[in-house]
Amino acid sequence: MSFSPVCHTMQLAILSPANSFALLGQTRGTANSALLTFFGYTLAVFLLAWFSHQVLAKRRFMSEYFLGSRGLGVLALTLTYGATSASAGSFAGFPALIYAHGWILALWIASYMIVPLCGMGLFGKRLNQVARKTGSITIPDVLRERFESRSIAILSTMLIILMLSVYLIPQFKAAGLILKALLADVGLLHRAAVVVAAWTDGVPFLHGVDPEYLICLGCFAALTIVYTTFGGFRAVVWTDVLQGFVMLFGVVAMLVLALSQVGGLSRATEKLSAMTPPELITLEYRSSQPAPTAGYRIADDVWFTMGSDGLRPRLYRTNEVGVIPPGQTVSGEVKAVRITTPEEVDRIIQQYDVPTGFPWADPVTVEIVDHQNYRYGADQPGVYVSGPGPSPSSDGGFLPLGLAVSFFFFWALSGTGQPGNMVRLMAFDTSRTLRRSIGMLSIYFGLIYFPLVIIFCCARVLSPGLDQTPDRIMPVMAFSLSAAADMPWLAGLLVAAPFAAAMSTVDSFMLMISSAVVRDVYQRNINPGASERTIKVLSYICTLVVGLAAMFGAINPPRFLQILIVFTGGGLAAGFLFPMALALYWPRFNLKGALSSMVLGIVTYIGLYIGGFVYYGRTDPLEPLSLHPLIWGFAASAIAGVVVSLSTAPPPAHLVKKFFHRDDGGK
Amino acid sequence: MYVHGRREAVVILAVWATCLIWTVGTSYALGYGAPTGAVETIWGIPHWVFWGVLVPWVAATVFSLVFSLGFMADDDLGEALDDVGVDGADVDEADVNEAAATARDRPEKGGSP
Repeated sequence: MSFSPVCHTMQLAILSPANSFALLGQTRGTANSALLTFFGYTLAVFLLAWFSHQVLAKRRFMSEYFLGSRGLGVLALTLTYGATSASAGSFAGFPALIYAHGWILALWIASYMIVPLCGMGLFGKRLNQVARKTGSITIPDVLRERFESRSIAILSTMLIILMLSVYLIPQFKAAGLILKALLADVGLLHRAAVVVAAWTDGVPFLHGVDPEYLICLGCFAALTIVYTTFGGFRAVVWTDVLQGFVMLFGVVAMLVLALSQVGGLSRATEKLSAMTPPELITLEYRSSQPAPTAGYRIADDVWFTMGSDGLRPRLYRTNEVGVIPPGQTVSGEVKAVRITTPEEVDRIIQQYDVPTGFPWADPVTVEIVDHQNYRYGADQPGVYVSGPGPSPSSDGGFLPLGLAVSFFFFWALSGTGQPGNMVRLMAFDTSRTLRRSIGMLSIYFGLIYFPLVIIFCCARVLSPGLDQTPDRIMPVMAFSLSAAADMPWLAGLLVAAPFAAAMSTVDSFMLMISSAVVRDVYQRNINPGASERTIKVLSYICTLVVGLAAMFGAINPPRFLQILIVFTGGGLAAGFLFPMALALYWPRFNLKGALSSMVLGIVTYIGLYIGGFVYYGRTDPLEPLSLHPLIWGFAASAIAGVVVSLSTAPPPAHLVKKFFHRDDGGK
Repeated sequence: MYVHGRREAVVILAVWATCLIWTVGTSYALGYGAPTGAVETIWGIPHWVFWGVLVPWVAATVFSLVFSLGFMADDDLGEALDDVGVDGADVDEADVNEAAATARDRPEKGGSP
């Protein structure tokens, strides 16, 4: 199976000019359906925001705008909690991981079985009660009141602003890419892209940015910023409910279509068990003469064969578009894969009618400049249906035992410690609402996450050869499943699911940052006597500025987005979980213990990332005992909180009485 | 309420630990090791995923339903002192009265110890 290091060259041609949008092998024919779906969805979101704004006008601004007047019912609490938890990562990053590593992702995500009980049950009633008792609107508010300390409020506010701002960027990028996929066949977008490209060509910051992506990013930002700014928390919750239903419908529809088209789950697992990981290829296109003024554009996702292993040809699929710029003869590097499973090679060649050699003619050739085998699982059938799962970068596989344990902490307890989730627990109306929501959310997550594993295991069989750009698998599956079922209108709805996931996370976090600035920084520390009108205007401006900043950050985002998502989510949990848990349940917990717990949790977590960067020279963190830095952050936070509290003076008696005793003296 | 919350938190953490041991332990025992190419399946699901993930997932969901609907106490959450300014001067008396009335009307199940 090994590949000769000698560069292979073959004739390749004809190509489309670089400014053409015709994609070889991709005719979706869903433009009108996708547009209709998108407009319908957008209209619904704006209507909800408008209704919410009407409610806002009749209520007291601060608690309504940031907390929905603490009136969330069962459905609203369930779906706003669920939709905020399910970010774009759930519908883009998670499917990509399933596609790349197989059934092991069922274990990776397994702790979602207990997320509703942990996330809502551990803190729910106590946090809601303390927030009501103190009139708290935000998480820093709660900590400030619990310890009567400005320092812990400022520290937690800074952590929230910093971490959530970073977290927003990948969400904006994912949404922009999803919208671009949704509107890929829409002529209006193509024409607008030409105009935008002309505008942005001379702007250094925007030079080289895909104009279609730029437009879609702008549309997403405008839509989300407008409804969040004017609707506030209630609009966010109402749209979360809509988005929660869209996500559920999308998953159920995709599950039915994927299973029917693959011929049943048994057949899919059987095919997966025979698969071996592909070879990861880097290639370049070369032209025998300089490209014309329009350049050459070689489409992505093209199957071709080159050379043979004796019995059968070597089968490749490009994963990226290649462009030879005007006047030049060589393209940039293009990612591709070589399929290594013999049965799969035969099936794909027959099913896709792949011609021998290249499907094009002169004057362009292709040259393979690099190839890489998986470090765990290469040439091993069965690796996609067993642990620890194949990995191109780790000798220990994708999910060794230590990491499997870590992720059980990560989803269940990290989710509990997210300020974005905790603030929702301050907004429900009665504890009966909380109890019913826990049950409903348990069923909801079960219907979302396990079926996603099944769908994208089927995707490996139905849409093979996308291993170098697996983030696209969600829209690819949506379009291909809908087309194969002869229901092109469905594609728009299926793609709306991840779009809704990104939107429901972005709106919540924008509001969190805005509340941190307006309530915790401005009203608490700068202008305590601010009028409601001032607070209102400042809140609108702040939400707007946060949204615009995140949009600009997503125009040229850093490359390691998924790492940023995990890093910021884990950082917030390491900083907030134990300080909040001990603050709510341990009367002896004092201010020094809380500050130590928060600081040591976050410092330990970030320190292991910095250590990994120094030691490995890349963004992988240090993982002592194969445990994720979050576990060490939790441990440091818990130990520091307990030890420092016990070794310093007890908290003032009036605080213990206020938070741990009833007015009649009971507990 | 504080005692209720703490007691329920202890039960939840115990359930979380049980799920961790069951899920990771079973999956590791049945699903890890040198891949052989052939895998035993139940309803098309690899048997280690079935026993190590799907079954505990269903059990955890059933437990969550039973525990939340049948055993968690319906506690009084108290009055909401919303929109109290930092100096405490911006209290709307009507709102506080309304909140107090709502709190009085709430059903009690477990009550306070």
